[in-house]
Amino acid sequence: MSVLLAESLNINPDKAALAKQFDMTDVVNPKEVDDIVGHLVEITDGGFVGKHIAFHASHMRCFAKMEVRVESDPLIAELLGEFKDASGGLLPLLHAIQSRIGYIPETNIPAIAATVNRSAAEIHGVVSFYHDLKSAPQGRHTLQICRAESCQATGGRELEQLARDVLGVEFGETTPDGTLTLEAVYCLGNCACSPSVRIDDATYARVDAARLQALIDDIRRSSV
Amino acid sequence: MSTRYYVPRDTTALAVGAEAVAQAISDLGSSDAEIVRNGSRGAFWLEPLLEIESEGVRVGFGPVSASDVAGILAISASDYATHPCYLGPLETHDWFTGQHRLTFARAGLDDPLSMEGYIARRGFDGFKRAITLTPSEIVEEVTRSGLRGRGGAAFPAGIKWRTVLEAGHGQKYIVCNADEGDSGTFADRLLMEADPYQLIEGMLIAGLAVGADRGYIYLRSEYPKTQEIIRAAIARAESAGYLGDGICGTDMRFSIELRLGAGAYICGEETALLESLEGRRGMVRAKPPLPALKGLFSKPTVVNNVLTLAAVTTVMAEGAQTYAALGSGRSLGTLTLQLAGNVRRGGLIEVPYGVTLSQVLEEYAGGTRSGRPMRAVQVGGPLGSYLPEAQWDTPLDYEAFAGAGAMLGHGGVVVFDDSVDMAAQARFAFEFCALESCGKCTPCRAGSVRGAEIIDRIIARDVSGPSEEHFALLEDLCHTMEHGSLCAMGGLTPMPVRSAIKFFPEDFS
Repeated sequence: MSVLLAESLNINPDKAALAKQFDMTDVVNPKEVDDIVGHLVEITDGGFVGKHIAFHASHMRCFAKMEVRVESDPLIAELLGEFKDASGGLLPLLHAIQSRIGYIPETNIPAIAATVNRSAAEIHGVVSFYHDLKSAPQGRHTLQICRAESCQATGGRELEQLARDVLGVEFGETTPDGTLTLEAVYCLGNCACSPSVRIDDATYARVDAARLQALIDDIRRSSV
Repeated sequence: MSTRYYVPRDTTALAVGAEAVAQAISDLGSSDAEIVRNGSRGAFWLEPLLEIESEGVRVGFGPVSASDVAGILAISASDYATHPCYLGPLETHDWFTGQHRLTFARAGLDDPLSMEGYIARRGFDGFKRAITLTPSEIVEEVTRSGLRGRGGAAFPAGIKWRTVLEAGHGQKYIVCNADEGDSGTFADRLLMEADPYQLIEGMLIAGLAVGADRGYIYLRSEYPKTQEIIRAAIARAESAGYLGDGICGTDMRFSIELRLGAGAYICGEETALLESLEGRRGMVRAKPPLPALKGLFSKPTVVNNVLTLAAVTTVMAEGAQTYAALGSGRSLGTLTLQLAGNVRRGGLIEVPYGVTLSQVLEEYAGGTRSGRPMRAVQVGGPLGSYLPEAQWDTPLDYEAFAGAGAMLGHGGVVVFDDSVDMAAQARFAFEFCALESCGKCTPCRAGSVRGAEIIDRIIARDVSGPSEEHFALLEDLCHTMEHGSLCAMGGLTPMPVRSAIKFFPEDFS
């Protein structure tokens, strides 16, 4: 099957050379062709694989008559179908991918972009905007320490320090054995019984140094 | 006669050990005992709270741990009062008797997902009345109640609804802002976990009033338990005929979709929230156009906080007059305060507007948990002012707080004892803004970073210039942020900073 990249379709001849470098099978200058869709159908045998980056939305529209395949992990492909028609469904889709494989693999961004009819740059922009969305694998467990004011008023700053010391990582990092990712969180809504920490989906209140140490020990034991 | 045990399944109750208490009762209780996993009443300082109901009398014990359960189960009802954790009927407990609960009247009484329980406690009364009125009459009722947005901005709900109602006849949306990001607040969470049908009812009324058939609840991802409960509540409301087509025998159609945030504080700002719902970065939009005219997917949209939508059910059930009879000045109805931080008796209270902060601190908070003197109280979340003792007699209403250079916001009250370093708190305000700014406005995006650096120089007593110059620069920066930012993130970050410098100057010298 033909392989195209955004640069495969360009009125700038310099970009055509660039596209060839990236293994594109065809390069077309839309200004030189009258019926661009008909031409593409012809040269690609009715379908193509978008490579590396998804085509811009305007390109996608012009390919409406063609079979466009963008490669994605089999695990993700099913989800893409599920969220295809949800209005504004990008965040639910990203949540679903992350809950299935733990992060949003960069290699799948073109497929996601094609599904929601947006550019790959936009998808990257969304993934990088939200603290919860990760572009790299995380630890098997996540420890969040609340750093917001209510917890600061009740010893939260000490917990922050203790977690970093005990785990030997900074916020946003994962322990070398892959057990635990340490994260800062700004309020768990548990402020009547501060300070709070969250481990995966369980929230713990009135945590002091000894309790935090015990919780970390528990995770380590269960992960051996 | 069987005995019924109530053990909350609320996030905070679970965070202090309610699951183990429920497990102990199930292990030790008699076979005909019924365990109800209710919501919390909001007296989080008493959690895990165990309530036992037998022969029509319901009494509480708290805080209890799993190891207390055997002892409590062993004593007979007539001797309950001898137990050290005994609280008596919670309705007569002094922490509750002074409160005026409307929105939280049902909180903690029953299993939050019990539709029968909700209806038995006047659930859907407001909606049933709304069905008999015209959209314009519903909006008029909400306007006359004086209800103002509970999310923080305090905009009159009726005026917002009127704008959406009059915005033509096409597709419209109801969006519930459940992205409760302010530190020290948990009222939205408690409402959704203890009384989720009330939110659904409020959204239904809003839908009727403005002619919308689709609602979204945008819930923050930090609330996994809330997510479970809301999801289940929506499903049950659908099967009970309160959501879907032909609601309650009318021709009304309304559906609600739960959407999860992804850890961005700024998405609590309504336009950023709409961007996020549309699947984009949570970047703040310039206003106008107002979301009421061009909101979600560019359609007229009501964006209201959880508590605002919930309060509408009371307004409709009790009438605008009854609601407006409470409160003071232009702040009508009841105020939900969340007592947090270094307090002995933390939790949620609902009182009429106009009581003073010091009353609340004395009567409800009961001093600091550390036992040290209170020094600063931050009201209204991370963008709220730090109030010194001299300001604690300010009445809790929007105008009085604005007059004191502070804000009520979403009603968070975070208490600090005398060990607090206010320079560190001021620095944190900038740090938080730098972390959570959407980046659209330069004063917020870059100013927050520069602000933290200036405070670092003040703290380090940098010799590059006299400290007055640092303070002048900081004030200049605050001024620029305040006036040069589209939303409250950049616009109000100066508030905690300025209050810390003004009222606690000794921490900066």
